[in-house]
Amino acid sequence: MTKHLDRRAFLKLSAIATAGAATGLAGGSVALGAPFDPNRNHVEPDEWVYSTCGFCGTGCGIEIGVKGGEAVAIRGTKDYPVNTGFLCAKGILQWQAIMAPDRGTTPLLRKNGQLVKASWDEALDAMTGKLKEIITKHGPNAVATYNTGQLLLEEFYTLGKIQRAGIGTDHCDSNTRLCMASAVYGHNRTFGADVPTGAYADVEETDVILLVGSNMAECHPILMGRLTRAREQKGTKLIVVDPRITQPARMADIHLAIKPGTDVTLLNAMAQVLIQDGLIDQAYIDASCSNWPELKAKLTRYTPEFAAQVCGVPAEEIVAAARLYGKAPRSLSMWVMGINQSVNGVTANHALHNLNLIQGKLGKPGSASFSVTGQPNAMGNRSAGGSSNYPGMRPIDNEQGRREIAALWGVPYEKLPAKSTPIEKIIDKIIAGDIKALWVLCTNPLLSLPDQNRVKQALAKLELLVVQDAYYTVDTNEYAHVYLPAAMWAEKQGVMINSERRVNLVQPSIKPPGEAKSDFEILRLVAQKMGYGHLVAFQTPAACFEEFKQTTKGRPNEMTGITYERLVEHRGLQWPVSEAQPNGTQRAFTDGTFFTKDKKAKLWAVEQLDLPELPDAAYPFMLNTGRVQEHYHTGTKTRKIKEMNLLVPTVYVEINPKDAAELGIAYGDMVVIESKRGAMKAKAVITQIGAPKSVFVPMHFHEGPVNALTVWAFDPISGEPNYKQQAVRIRKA
Amino acid sequence: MPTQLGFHADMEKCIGCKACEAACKDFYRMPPEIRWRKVRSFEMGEWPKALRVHLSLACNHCEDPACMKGCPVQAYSKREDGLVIHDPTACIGCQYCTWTCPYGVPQFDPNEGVVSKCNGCYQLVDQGELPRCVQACPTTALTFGDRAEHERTKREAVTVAPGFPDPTITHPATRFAWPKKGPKPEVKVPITPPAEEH
Repeated sequence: MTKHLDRRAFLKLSAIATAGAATGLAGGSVALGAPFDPNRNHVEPDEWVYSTCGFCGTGCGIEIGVKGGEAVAIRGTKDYPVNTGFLCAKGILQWQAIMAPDRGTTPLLRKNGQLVKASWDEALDAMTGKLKEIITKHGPNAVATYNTGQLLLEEFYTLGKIQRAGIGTDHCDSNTRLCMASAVYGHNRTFGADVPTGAYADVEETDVILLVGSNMAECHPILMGRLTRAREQKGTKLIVVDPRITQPARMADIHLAIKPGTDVTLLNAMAQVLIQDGLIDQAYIDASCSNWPELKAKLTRYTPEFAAQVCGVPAEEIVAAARLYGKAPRSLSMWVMGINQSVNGVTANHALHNLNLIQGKLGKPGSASFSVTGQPNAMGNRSAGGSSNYPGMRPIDNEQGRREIAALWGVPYEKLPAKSTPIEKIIDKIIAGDIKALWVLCTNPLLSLPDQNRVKQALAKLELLVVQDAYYTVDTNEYAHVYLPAAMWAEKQGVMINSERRVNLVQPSIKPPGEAKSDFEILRLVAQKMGYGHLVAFQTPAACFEEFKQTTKGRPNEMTGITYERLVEHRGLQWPVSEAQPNGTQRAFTDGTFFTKDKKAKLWAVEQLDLPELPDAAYPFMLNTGRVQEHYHTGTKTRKIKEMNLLVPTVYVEINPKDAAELGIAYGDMVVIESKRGAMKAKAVITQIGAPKSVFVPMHFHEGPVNALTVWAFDPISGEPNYKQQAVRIRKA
Repeated sequence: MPTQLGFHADMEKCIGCKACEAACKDFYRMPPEIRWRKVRSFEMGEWPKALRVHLSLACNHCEDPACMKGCPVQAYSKREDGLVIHDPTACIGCQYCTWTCPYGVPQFDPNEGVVSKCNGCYQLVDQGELPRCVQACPTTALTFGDRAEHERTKREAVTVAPGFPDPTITHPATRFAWPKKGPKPEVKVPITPPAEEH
């Protein structure tokens, strides 16, 4: 730092000296003593530590550059198969988020309305004392936990044990509910287990990619890079279904800009075209799928003309898309939140699986029905029982699974809850007074849940809100009674699992700031204070992973063949990794058998459900929400990165020029956006990439929280919020 | 024809991810406001046929660099391979070059009192490597090499791009490929600037 200032001071001084000299010498050349070095500000780390990226579900391999005990750089791991050295902008610059000045360094306790510094003992005593009091008075179900897709697998496993075998509450969930729940239910109900079918290698292997409800350019830029390179090298075709002209839509061979919420109708119609054109594999359907007669009957009314009317795209384009997809030797579907975050989340997942199953291609190289994840370790949560299931992907309501886990954990079977509760039900139960305590780990529900006013009402009502987070500035802390400072991923050890089931190691590169502790340590301390010490006998993440592994033996997500060392050696391993398949499994369901009772994939005959809210005279605009590539989720990390903040400094709303002209709104004007639930302000960006009478607002900004507007409606099966469609009105501020 | 190294930006393949910009900033650690490379965004056409395209620009390493001509202290030099280099230790911070460059490439840093700009990572180039930004591009939209080679081998390698000032003044070495679905480069189209400032 001193060196840097000295150099700056020197340059400034020399500039002044030179200016004087230049005047005197009338433009003559000036020789300066300092050698010219274009790398003068460059910081070269002393060492690079192998790890996994902490942002999206792509799961890039990274190395963290460390110098003098600080993280000073991040680079992509060259020989890591996911990203081959590439990283997105926020991935490259994320060391700034680790070194941010608002990292929590001591626990905080609310006293007289203020959060004040406390020792770990004070904070943990306050937390566990209150928890015990509430459990004694109201029972374990008065306590709820709400976690994330961004802890490490060992932490999910430990938390799972504490909340189920320790506290014994039905009220556990995580923010993967907001992200992957619809995909999870889709996998479970179709394939009999939560097993993503494909691998990223399918992007290069396939002939045509169907991208539905995924702005891969903003949300998974490194996958978009693979897709773009494949298109150039192999001429891979691209079909994009998205109501906006996103970057993938701009590039697409066919872009179907359907009306929001009509995906299921479109996908059903595409399946019907395949049936009509004989582009299905009857032998595969007969051998490997159930419920075919029901699906076939249901699809008969899905003519291209019918779908064209519902979806608002030409019938010929629907037919062309279906034929392009169906005639290709290999075809790959990929989707994300445009599908999952909807009342039609599960139905659309089924419709996509149907489309791929009936062609008989699923499981072959280049052919997959692939839901990409949004968080770096959502799959770790799903595998380790961090929220809505038991470890080893045992459904929470399955008696045999619970008995197996009770035996493995050495706890009475009766102790283990047989249900979990989606976060929206937890919020409603807090408001109803049934839940008194909420423990939030590594997530920011104040900003990320829909209908912010309702969430505020709930958080304000809690007798105990514990916020465990890396940043004391995390918005939810406004309501916290206890704040526990957590280490970030770069400061701890454990594993993460990406969308393609690739398990990889995260390693401590630097020490956490001040007194912050890893979530693993915090969980163990809480367990000990709560009297659950016997559940967390493992002292280290590695020992915890060894225990966890035993729960996966013979399960779909078997990881018994994994050690931390092997993960580094192999650059990640894709589960299942067993004795039989020690180097992992690239693709699932390659033999046409599934985890259902009859070993067949179930073809669900689904139809589109009505949206919870449609524009009307009072609220004439359809509001869509999403991400920009510069920021991530509620911005707690990316808004600490200076360059990202310069690129996208604050919230904005995309408005079509036609509507802007009608409302007298110019580029850069502040506008007020209102829904039936709340209001927010944002800067107007006038753009042609969205349809008239629709607006788009990114989700990252506390000063303009789009969730003040979003509708309190959920997929009836998965419980995932419907973030993508609601009615709003706008006016110039 | 002598070698003239430069960048090629393919607007079809660029997804606006700004990894190029981040890689540059991360290596050279210039202040956040100083953007040697800058990805600009433009829109063409109307819904539902509109296009938002991204243009990744840094120094164009012009064949006839105006920055160099205007510099009173010869802080600029042009290498044999065509790269235009700025020496901040010679710079007096007069900012004359920030006015003469049609592309706004040299940027004044008030903290240091001098101007700086992209030097084409010439030290890497001398070792046979590509500039940081090019190495970081996940879509291969941004490439680097001899201008004549780009004109021979690329799908398209034109001198004009949306919002890019008249190339006949300084003969920039940067070449462009336009988006496949969009208007052809020779057609003058109305451009909506800039989505970049949101």
